[in-house]
Amino acid sequence: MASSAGPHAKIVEEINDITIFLVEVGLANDQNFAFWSDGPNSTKTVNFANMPPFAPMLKARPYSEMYFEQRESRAYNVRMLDGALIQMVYEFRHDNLERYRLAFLPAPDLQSFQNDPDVYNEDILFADVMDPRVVTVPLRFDFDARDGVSENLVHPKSHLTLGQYKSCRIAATAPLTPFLFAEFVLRSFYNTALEVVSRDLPAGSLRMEKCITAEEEGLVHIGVPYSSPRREMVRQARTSKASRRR
Amino acid sequence: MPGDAVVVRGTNDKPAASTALARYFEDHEGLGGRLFIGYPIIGALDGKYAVDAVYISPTKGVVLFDLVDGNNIAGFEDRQDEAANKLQSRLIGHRELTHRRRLIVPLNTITFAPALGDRAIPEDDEYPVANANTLSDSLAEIEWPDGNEEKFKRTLSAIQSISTIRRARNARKVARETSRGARLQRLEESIATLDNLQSKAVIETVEGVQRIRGLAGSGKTIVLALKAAYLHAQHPDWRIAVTFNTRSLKDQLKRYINNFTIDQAGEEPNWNNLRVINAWGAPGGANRDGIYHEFCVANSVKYQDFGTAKFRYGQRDAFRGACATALDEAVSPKHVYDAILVDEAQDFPPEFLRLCYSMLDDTKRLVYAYDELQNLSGTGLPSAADIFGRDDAGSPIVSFHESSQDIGARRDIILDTCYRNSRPVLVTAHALGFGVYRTPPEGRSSGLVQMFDQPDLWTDIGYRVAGGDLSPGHDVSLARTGHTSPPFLENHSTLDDLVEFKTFADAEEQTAWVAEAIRKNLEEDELRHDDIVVINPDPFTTRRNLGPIRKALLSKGVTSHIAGVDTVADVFFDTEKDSVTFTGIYRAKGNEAGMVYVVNAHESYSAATSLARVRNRLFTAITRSKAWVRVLGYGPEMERLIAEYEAVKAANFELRFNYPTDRERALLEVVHRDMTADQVQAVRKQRQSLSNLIADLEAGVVMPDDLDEELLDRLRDILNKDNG
Repeated sequence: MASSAGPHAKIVEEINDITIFLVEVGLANDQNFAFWSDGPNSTKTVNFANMPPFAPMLKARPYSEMYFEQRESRAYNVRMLDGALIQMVYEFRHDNLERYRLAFLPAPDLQSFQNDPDVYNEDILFADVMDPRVVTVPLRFDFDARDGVSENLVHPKSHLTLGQYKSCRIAATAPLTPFLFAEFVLRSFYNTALEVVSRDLPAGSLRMEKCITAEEEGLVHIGVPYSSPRREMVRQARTSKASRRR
Repeated sequence: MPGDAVVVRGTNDKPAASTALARYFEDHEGLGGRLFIGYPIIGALDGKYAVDAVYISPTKGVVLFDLVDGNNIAGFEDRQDEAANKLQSRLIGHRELTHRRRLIVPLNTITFAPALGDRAIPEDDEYPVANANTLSDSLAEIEWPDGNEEKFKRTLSAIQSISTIRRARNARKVARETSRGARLQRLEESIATLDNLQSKAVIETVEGVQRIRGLAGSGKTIVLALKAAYLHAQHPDWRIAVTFNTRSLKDQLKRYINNFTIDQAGEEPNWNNLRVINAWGAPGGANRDGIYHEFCVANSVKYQDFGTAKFRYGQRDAFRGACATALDEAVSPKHVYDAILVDEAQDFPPEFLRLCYSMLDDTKRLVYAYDELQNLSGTGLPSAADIFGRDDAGSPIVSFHESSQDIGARRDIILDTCYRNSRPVLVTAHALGFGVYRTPPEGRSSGLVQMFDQPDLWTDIGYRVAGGDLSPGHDVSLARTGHTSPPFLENHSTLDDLVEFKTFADAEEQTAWVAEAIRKNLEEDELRHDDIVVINPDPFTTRRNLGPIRKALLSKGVTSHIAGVDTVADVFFDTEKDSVTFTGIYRAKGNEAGMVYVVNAHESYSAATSLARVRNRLFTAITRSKAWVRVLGYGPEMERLIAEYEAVKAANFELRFNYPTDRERALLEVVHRDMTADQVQAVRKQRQSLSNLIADLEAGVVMPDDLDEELLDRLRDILNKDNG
């Protein structure tokens, strides 16, 4: 069927590959597989569990409350060895990405683990990752292409929010694929001097189109690898040239 | 001809009369039956009611004692009525004690006031009053013509029943009577009731320190929890703390305490006074509090978190250092608790126990429970003299010698019956844990890795001497008894099904086998997800090793999770979701499952150092099993491990070995001692340099004459001392 080959299916596959990888290398304590389903208005939603995918996160309550609630209801793709929750939800309409939410929600309070010497005995991998100087920060990549939602500079189409600050929307060049998000999280928060775990993450070939405006690009922003029609052409030209040479 | 009465001394608020009563029953031989002091506690509509003392015998039925300290007995008729009514209402609920709406056992009452003068005793047939002189007469008046041993046992069982405590989680769906699920279900139902000896251990209370030792699966944790609940029920305004090492115990402890208190006293515990808290603790609220932190706050000394302590004292000695420093700095430690109960004491440094001791009022009610072999870091618990120190005269501050005061209550309780592991599983675990059938390395006569200092400990933990002599230097053969290893634990399956050792070509083969075995357990054997646990004994390799197995299971559609340290909810089994638990050795402790897979058991088989620690881990992993265990691995070392198991089987699950002498045992401790990474490095370097020296000497590159005579003498002395 045509729809099963659409981008939503590829995203599901990429998310699940990443999930299995995290399980295999021992970074994941618990996991849910991703799947897609039909939504209203010809949308297809990629989610990890049967629950509202874009639940508002900005209700005025403490982060820890929200974290534990999500954790108890197992609302995540992966729960990492240090308690961090990874959530990836994508919504497509007519094969175009309409919106997504990619969240990295670390456990709010790491001190309770740190005073337990057995942590270090038991979870050697974990102990390296934990550092008493660290302050964890939840971060969220959001994307919304629907009419009337984004606004130049104020509300970039693809943006990064740090620490759940309401007005923090750091423009990103393009939407992130699951691979790019996972690689970013692993490399930033889980690589240690001894173990470069991000290196073996199964690479995703998907790239999304650039969506940042020129003005947003003129200010500090997050650079995200993207695909463009011209780039696609160049890439195809290179591959066919290479194959001709052989 | 009945033997002497058994006295079980709990606690109540009439210490003088209690002691006198206990003494009476101890002094009068041949009375038979059992005397409980401070038990049972009966929950009723108008609040809980504590019985002062009760005596049960086949010839007298039930005799309730209303105890009086001093000589004011006013109100004794009402009190006797109340006691009888309350106990009646409790017992009448037991169908096996009733016949046509009436109790088959008579309830009598006596007010016992040892301080009352003979002349002050009222003449009252309906409400007898007695002192120590007249008690014999009062008791003689009581008879139970229809009494017999069977009715006595039923009554005893009903009075001390604490049966709801261990109720299993949701019942399984079993369709086939012989499936694993069905067998496990029946097994659990049989274990649910605490036996006589365990409830005795719960009630026995002493002034001072009490120690509970027991092997894995003997119910130490339950006994400790119920003891705390019992003390709390009897003394609601005492401040009591229960602490533990493994986080997953917190939930268990609270559950047992809650169930017991509701079952016995009809109300919930007051968690403000009875606190189940961590050992270390951190600032920031009651949830994270811990004993050490409370000590620091109470005594205004500096609190150190793990990071700081690790930096100052090293990782392994972090807690030890923190406790020691705090103790030094606290000038005169404040008394914070009336009683402290410590589970898994073998995993704490002695300094922590001293810290707890210092936080208690002068009665020093400290109860600690431990298991020698389950110390996962390889070091045992020192003697009480070493833990608590000696006074100026040189006598130990804490000792477990029975004193004349201790009638009916032991200071040193040993639980010898294992309720979790069947005989084959337990003996296998002990054999591997001690290295009983390990091939001796070159130059040594024994393959033993460790051994109890006191040979008697073997019989204490439920072995009998099947042959030879249980003493140093002699051959001995040890076996479990039918009492200490109840047959029903093993009768449900064949020997080869209970314990299976298997070796594979490599890790991949092991992974594939485990994944398929688990699938079968779930889809064909009628086991639940939380009946299965996969354990990797070596903490260093746990995540790396378990990942591929979890991945293989995922591709078979079976969900699993790792019981990690990242938990505020100290939950081991995911009872909400159908998910199989994977775990490292530290999180496995204190938990149990019907089907246990121990993977990579071969790792560190030939460890040059800390072999005791490696063997202890194997012991702990294997003893998690309530029914079946699979010990798996690959490579030549797995074959050697399997050879040890085959030897256990060939010995018909008896432990046969030559008991090491003191010298030999000291050597064992030295050889298999726990070393830090630095020490390991140092030893390795010196081994290498010694090896080099010998090579040079043999090759003639270096001659003995080249070496300094004084140095050689010193070397000879050292070598001779070891071999002398």
